[in-house]
Amino acid sequence: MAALNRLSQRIIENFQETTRDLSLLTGSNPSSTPYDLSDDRLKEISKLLESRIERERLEGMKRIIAGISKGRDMESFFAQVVKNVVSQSIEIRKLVYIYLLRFASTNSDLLLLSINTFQKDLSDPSPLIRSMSLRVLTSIRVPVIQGIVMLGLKKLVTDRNPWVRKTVAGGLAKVYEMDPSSAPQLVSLLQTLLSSPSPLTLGVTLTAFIEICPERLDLLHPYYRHIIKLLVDADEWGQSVALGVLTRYARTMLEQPPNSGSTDPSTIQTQPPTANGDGNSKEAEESEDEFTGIDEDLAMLLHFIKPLFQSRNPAVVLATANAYYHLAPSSHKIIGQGLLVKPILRLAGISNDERLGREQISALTWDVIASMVEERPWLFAKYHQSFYLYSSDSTSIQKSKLRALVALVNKDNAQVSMREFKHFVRLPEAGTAEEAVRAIGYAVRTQPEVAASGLKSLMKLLKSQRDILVAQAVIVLKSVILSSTSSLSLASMPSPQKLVAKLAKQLDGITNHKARASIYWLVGQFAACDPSRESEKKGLGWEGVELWVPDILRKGIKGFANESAQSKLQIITLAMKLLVLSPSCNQLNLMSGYLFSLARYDEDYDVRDRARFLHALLKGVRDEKPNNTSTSTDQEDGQGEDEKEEDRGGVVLRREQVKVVILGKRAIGDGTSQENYQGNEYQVGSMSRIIGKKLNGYEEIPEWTDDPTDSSLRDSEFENLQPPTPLPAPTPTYPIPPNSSQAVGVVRQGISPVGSSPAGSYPRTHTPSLGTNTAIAAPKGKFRDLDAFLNSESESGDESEESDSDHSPPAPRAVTAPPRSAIVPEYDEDTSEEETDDDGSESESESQDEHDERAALYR
Amino acid sequence: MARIDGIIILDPNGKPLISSHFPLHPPSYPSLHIDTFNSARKKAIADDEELDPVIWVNTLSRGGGSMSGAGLCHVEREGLYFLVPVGQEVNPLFAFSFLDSFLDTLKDYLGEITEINIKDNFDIIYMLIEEMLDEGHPMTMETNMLKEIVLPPTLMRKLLNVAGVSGLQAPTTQPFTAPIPWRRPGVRHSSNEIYFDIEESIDAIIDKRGNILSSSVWGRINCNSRLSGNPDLLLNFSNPKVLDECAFHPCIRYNKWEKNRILSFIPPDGKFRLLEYQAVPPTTGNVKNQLPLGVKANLVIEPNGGRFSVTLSSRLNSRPLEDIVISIHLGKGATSVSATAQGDRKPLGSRSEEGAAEGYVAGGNWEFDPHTQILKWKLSSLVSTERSPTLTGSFVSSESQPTPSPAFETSFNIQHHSFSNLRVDQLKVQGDVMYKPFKGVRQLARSGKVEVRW
Repeated sequence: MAALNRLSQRIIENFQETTRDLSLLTGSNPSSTPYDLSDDRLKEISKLLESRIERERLEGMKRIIAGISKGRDMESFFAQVVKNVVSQSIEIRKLVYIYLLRFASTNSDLLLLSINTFQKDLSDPSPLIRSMSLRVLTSIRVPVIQGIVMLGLKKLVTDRNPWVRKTVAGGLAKVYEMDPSSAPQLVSLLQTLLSSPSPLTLGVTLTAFIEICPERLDLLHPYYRHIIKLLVDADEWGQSVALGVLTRYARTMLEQPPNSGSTDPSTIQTQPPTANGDGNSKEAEESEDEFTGIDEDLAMLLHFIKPLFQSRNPAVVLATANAYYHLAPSSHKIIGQGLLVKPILRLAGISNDERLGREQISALTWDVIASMVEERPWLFAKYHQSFYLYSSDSTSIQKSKLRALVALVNKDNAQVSMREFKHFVRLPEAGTAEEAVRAIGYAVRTQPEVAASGLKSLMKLLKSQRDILVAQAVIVLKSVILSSTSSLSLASMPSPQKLVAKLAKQLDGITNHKARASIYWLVGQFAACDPSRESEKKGLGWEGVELWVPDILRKGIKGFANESAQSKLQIITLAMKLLVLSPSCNQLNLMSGYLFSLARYDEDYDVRDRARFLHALLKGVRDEKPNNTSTSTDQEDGQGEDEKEEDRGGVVLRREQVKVVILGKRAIGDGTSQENYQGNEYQVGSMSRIIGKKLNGYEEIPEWTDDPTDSSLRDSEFENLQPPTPLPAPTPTYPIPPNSSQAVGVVRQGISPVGSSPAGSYPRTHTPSLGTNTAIAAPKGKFRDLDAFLNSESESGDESEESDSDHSPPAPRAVTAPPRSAIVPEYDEDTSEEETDDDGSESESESQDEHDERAALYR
Repeated sequence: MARIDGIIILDPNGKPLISSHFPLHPPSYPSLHIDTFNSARKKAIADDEELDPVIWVNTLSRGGGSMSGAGLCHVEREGLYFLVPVGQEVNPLFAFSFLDSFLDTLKDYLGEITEINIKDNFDIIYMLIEEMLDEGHPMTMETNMLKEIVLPPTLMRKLLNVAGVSGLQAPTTQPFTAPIPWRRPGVRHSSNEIYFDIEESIDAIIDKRGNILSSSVWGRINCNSRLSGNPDLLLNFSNPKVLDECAFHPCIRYNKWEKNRILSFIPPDGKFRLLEYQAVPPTTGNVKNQLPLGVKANLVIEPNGGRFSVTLSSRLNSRPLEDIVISIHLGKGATSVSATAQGDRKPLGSRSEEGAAEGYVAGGNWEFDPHTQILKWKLSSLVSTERSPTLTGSFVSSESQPTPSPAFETSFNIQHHSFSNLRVDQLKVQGDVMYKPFKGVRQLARSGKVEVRW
């Protein structure tokens, strides 16, 4: 057979060689593929579709699809296309399906003609046809046929072919989206699928789970171990979904392992330091004790997903790393967080090769790694070298690596880090070089031993030709100077006054506005001269002010007109500060007088305002007579600043007071390294974190539960349970697992503390399904366990109240008992309450406790 | 969750060629993304910057919240742009992983991914997208499986179509019945052969004095399998310990690897990537041995220019280094370069004519492109016995203080070499096969990112 194939291949090739000039092979004209769509070709479509020759109909369909992709309106062919649904050719049928899916919702009447065909195909012997027709059925979003669709799903959910079951799983979410009230039926189908022994369906089933009932983690109890065992063999796309679900499950249902999260194992002395792979020390330990203190189900999860680190699919590797990051104990030989480091670094490194075309994967991975390093630097400390920047790295990779390197700076690698940062400053990419300057500043501030060399290179940067770097260096120096005055640890550094003087010396060469403004500000701040050193000036200069300072002011005033508004403001402030320090100096008074009149007619209103304001503030100083009229008590510190303007003339500050106001420690935003890097509130390893904006469906991973569920819940392997008939044993009631009222609290805890939207939206978005659920469940529960029932009833009441009050101000007193008791399904309360909320939003003063209490009483 | 919105393919001018269905979004949704992408690209070109791998698109779509939007993941291939909008929170690499395997499949189907190929086969691409994505959820991604459902555009089919016999559609086997997702049943080849390409690349940073600051060796084994039936393969390495961090094709049995360090697998048919690995870092003394090229580089900046010198040496005795290229970006404003390259040998004869025009000397060719400001020094080969070739010279820049890149980039190839010394020991074929296949192993070592600071 194979030989025959090759032979025919050979013949065809031969044939093609000899008939090339006939241009038969590519249709009538080689240049006109179906994709090229002129108007007359468009007109032929109808004719082609009606043709009796299959090939022509195919050509017609191709032209239609081409039209769609070019944005033409192809809806008018709907009737003709629908007829082709019965075509024998799979290829035509597929194109028809593509077409139908696009226009089904607007042509439901015509579409109903074809439903019969699809329904019949559900029993076709070929699994391909079965799954294809089911897919189309579920994708047609027409309410009328939902009953048929549901029947189809129920029929195929027990299909022998896993690929067909996969399609069923994919269809569940679509049906739910059309008709949320079908949730109970869908959930039971979901459970049937969860118990499927084939790993093929796992991923899709869990995807459906997330879309239908993401908060019903309690449903997974009996399948938890089953899922974990299948996971390794599931398809890659399903694995990354499943890992997400299991992470949430573990957080809400399992016991938190000791030392999880961001605790550095080296700081914890309870355990011998095994973290960094010195294997021989723990040789003696028995294998049974390896997992002591760790929830066995959690250990099982972590152990079973380890192979996924070796997946070829980057998304799976990242998902596994995420799971370890959020679940694993910080130091453990077999399932510790340390395991995630090498795979994720491998992923980032190996993808960073332009010949593979996977740079984006690398860039995003580095981004995630950088976030991880920022939170848990100790994990990656050993791999410092892997973070060095290559000049051929893309900008975003360079930035991420640099972020990580900054976070990794510690005593051991201070020297090396400094060497690297200095090198990175030389990179031509402006953004990266700037970051590197900031990184130097950070190292100078935190690592005393490299402070001197870091400062030296910062000072050297001031002479650089690269404008941005000079600016950045000044700004970084400013923050270094400020932090050096506050902390005594930096003994090795020169005094701030000296640094400022050096900076000021460079003023002429610095053109960046922000940098100049910073220098003026710094000069003013450190202008004061130690009285003891007054003698060194030998009578030169102004009293109380360093020798070099007046010249800076002179330069500032001289070039005032050409300065930016930012610098102008700082020059005025500088003059002001000097006046306060040395009020008796005549030259200064003259200069500042000149400056103030310049500023008064400046084109920038901020400058004018500031000048006027400061001028007024200085009244007391200028008058030079001790003015005791001021009510000094409430005019202390910076607080007086705002009020000054209003009561002009009324209150005049004394010189000492002005001094406090003006020279108080207030840094202008100094945009240094650390502050910039942090402040991203989204979870590490989420898309929202990378974009920096919240995407739909983003949810925090829940905190660890305080009250883990009993592992016996998971003991019941699904095989031991009753066969998954419709509405099987794990009741579809909202969170009451049979005979364990304990779990109730757990589920709730998992969900309620989550940030704003999930908590608020939980009862609301799922109102219909859950409402009916509880309505069904309530009578059932009564017969089972009255206590559990009562507990859950009051608790879930609290829950709805809580989440509601999280969201909106506490309900006003206006809520009265009668309507409450009248309403039976508890979730309806939400809406009724909200309405009254809006009505009486005035009375927000009522305390929440009281509100909750009342709510409980009403039950 | 775990869903992308769809996929869009743009031509080099930013016009859409293919745009999958976006069932959950208004019709304007794809155009919104295309517009945002095009304007971001224009801006990036104008500012001479790189595009972020994910672009934020404000779609103001439904779903509550005033600031709803999507992240637009994009990849460029052969001048075409492939966009995947992601409107919901999802694993950050999900979209790119999907694109990666989508592009692999496309390549498998079309050969080369070009605009013409895409236009010619757009119906197949639509069908492929339809099979791969079910409303944004990846469905069937295995190429082998897809080939049963969507037939690739072979010559045979074209011919039959023209002849009007399109009824001959039915594939030889029933789709969706294969027990192994990555291999279809009943594969037959007249000659049974399997080839392994072991390709390693090295990343390294070398400082001024020639010390290696950081290095890592990455490897991948690409496989081309043309075996009939269901062969079960056992691949042994003589030194499996050098494989440190691996990423396996799903066909590899993880447990066997963990236990015996043997690769046991039933391969997919055709080309596939069997394994990716990071080699074990050498012990401190041997770091230099792993990188076979020694480079000493120096560059001094002077007003309006600078001087440089580069010296090369090979540490590899057994084989020559080939296609060596040393390049450096001399910074904005660099206008001209004069340099001399010295070496033992004349470059291989055939090149003499081309090289004669510019900088042709015994130690290879150098060239300077004033548009990109990149200086390149190329040598066709280098062996350890010859005298070290050097390039010395100076450059002129219009800027008073030029800012050249702080490192020389280096690239080279070595045939039949492995940085990590990985060796295939033997390949055993088991399973229900009666033949003895032809086995081929080829090794190539090349540079990844190797840079020398000055």
